[in-house]
Amino acid sequence: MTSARRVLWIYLLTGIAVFTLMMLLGIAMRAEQARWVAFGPQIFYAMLTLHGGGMITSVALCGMGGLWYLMRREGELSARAALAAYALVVLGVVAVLLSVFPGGFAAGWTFLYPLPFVGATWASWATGTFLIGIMLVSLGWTAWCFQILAFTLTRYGGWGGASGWNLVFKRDAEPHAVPPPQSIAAFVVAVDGILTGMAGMTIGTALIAHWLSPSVLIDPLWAKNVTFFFGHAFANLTIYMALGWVYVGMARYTGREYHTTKILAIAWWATLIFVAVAYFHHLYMDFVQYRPLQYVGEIASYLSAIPATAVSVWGSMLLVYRSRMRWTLGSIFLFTGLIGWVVGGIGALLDASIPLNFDLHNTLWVPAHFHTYLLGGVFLFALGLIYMQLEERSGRCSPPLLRWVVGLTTFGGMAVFLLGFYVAGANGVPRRYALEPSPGPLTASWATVGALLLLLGLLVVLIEAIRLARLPAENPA
Amino acid sequence: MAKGPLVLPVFLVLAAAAMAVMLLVALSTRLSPLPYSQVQPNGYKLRRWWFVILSVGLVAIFAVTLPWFPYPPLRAAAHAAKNDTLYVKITAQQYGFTMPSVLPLDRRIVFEVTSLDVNHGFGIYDPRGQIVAQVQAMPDYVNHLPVTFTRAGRYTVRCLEYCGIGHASMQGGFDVR
Amino acid sequence: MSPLRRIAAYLIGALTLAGALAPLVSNEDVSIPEHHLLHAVLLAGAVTTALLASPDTAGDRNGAWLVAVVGSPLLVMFLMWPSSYAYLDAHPIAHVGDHLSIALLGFLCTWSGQRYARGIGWIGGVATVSMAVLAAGGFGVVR
Repeated sequence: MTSARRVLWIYLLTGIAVFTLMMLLGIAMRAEQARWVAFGPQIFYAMLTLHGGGMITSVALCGMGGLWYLMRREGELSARAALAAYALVVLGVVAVLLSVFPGGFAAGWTFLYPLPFVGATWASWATGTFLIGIMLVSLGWTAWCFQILAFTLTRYGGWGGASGWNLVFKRDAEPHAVPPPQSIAAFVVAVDGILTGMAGMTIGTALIAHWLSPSVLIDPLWAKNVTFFFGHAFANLTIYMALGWVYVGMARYTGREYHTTKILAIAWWATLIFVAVAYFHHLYMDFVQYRPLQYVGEIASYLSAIPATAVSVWGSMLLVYRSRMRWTLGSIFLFTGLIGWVVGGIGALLDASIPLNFDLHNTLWVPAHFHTYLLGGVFLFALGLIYMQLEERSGRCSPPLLRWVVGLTTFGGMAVFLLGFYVAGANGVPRRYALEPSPGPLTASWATVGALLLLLGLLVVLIEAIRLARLPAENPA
Repeated sequence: MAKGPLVLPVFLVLAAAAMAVMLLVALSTRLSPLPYSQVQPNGYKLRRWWFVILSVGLVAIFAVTLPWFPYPPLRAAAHAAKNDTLYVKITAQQYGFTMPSVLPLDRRIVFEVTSLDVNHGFGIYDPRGQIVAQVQAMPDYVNHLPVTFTRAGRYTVRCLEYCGIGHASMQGGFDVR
Repeated sequence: MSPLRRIAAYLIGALTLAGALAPLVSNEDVSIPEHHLLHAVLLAGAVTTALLASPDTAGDRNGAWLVAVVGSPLLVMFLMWPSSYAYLDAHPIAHVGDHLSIALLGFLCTWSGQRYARGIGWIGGVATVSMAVLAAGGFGVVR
């Protein structure tokens, strides 16, 4: 295996392993809400904290590995730097894990000031370890972004080349200097990622300062803004990282070519801005927030649908339409991931409408939509990338019957699981409740059944992946 | 009025439509393949329409729904002008609310919501169990939430921001009559 | 490097250093947010100096540059620890040391960024200044 592939698999396998553990925690929480088991609130909220932070980091790891690998194919990138960033993130995950079990830290992965410090049922060291863990993840993420940005700047001729500016405004842009779509995505993710990481370090330092010397006070509204700027963008960027290989994979499976056009470049600039300012929608119910920011939040959230649907999804659909598409598990996961992204996006747009948010804010509608595009989008994209690699290496794909079994269990289970959230959210069941009011327990029961079915499907996906991986390599790297 | 139950059918219809379109695209690969040079120009033409419809539509939805935004008027004078407004202080604290037990029907109320410790949410559920209003309860800040209750009965208040391990049990209520 | 750019680098560098010495001549009380903002100005001077002074080479992707770009802004934030401000106000020499360290780290972040790959110093520098400005909104600050 080349060192580039090794880096890819280290990131991917760690991401999937963390994801699997977090999924088990998720099922345990839904089972508790269904009142099938009773862990009690202390353990429930510790699981909730770990589940949130762990999941975001797991999909981010998949995205970082995947996009790094795509960039590595475009030119020289240091594997050591990529592994250093990986080590920082994994150290952060370990610290967060220790803070939660056995530390008992349960202030939520959003660690909204001053909750980590007030009314805590956990030891002070657990708070500190958690904050240091988040800081390490933030540092690793920022280092990765700097590496990727440095690469695109050098490879495509500075800011003008890497961003696609030269392509859009200068008619004489040389074709070989135009970044392919995945590199434009990498550029945007890296720029937003650096801003995000810096915000993460700012709030992280402030919270660590407060932890060490409680006389350092923090403005709660400021803390909310900075925390959500960091958290929202970090989570949101996982989708945009995955799009890099969705572009590549769709082109490969359809046998058609996907080029960077002026429209694609402009769409990604728009995404760069929307990712940075859409987070205001997390503060809709903070009426003291400066009012124009609420409007900016709604408009940015709305308009982010334009580059998403009119460019990335539309472009992929055009590639597929009446093509010689090879339907393998790899391409099925990439395609259904796009469906999950769009459907989750519809749920998000409804929630991003302030009059509706008044009724939906912090209900289960919120996990409903973000599970749709993180589980039904980014996670499927990650599976797509894994299968794409396995199918390419072995020159084989899975038999049709197996594809049907996987499709019915995975997507069927996922749909039932997600509907549980949507129905409860529309009926006002609050999110993050260990014991939910009606109809929470009922919908949690369906959701648990759906999640178990999904788990069964994913077990088949895992066994099939191992089978493909053990086949002799037809196209060794 | 509770809008939650209306949202679900709207979502399901839009989601089903999006899924149907994308699945039709997937099924199109069963037809005889077309060269990409033939697909692309038509696809781009259609996309122009999608771009215009979506941009205009979304901006229009923002503009048209502005009157339904739940925020209080920006100028204090507008508050004072409605002198029949009842101002009610709400204080949240791990894990309960301090608030009156009875509130009037059909009268404009402005809740002045704050918190003594961490972030909480002040979520009001009507007698049928639907959310009718909410606002964050933050330490160091006071959020003003204007509400007029048009239905008499027992209202439940639930915390709508994760505030610690007693979060799910943090509730209260009042009668409207 | 053009002579004009060289002069500008020396001039802004000298002004930044002079700014860092401010606590020696003035012990005026400034609030924490003002103090953060003054540090942001200091950082802006250091970042500009580094951008002007850094060589126009393509960069050499040495991992040490990357460590400096990512680590310096974090250290800057720790040097802006608000509860230390009262002590620093009473001890001008320590205060100057704090300022010099902040300016040096801002310079280091930007310079290392430019050495790592041209263009990286820009975003590293801008981000460092932004962090100091952001801090004025709530780090050690309440209404």
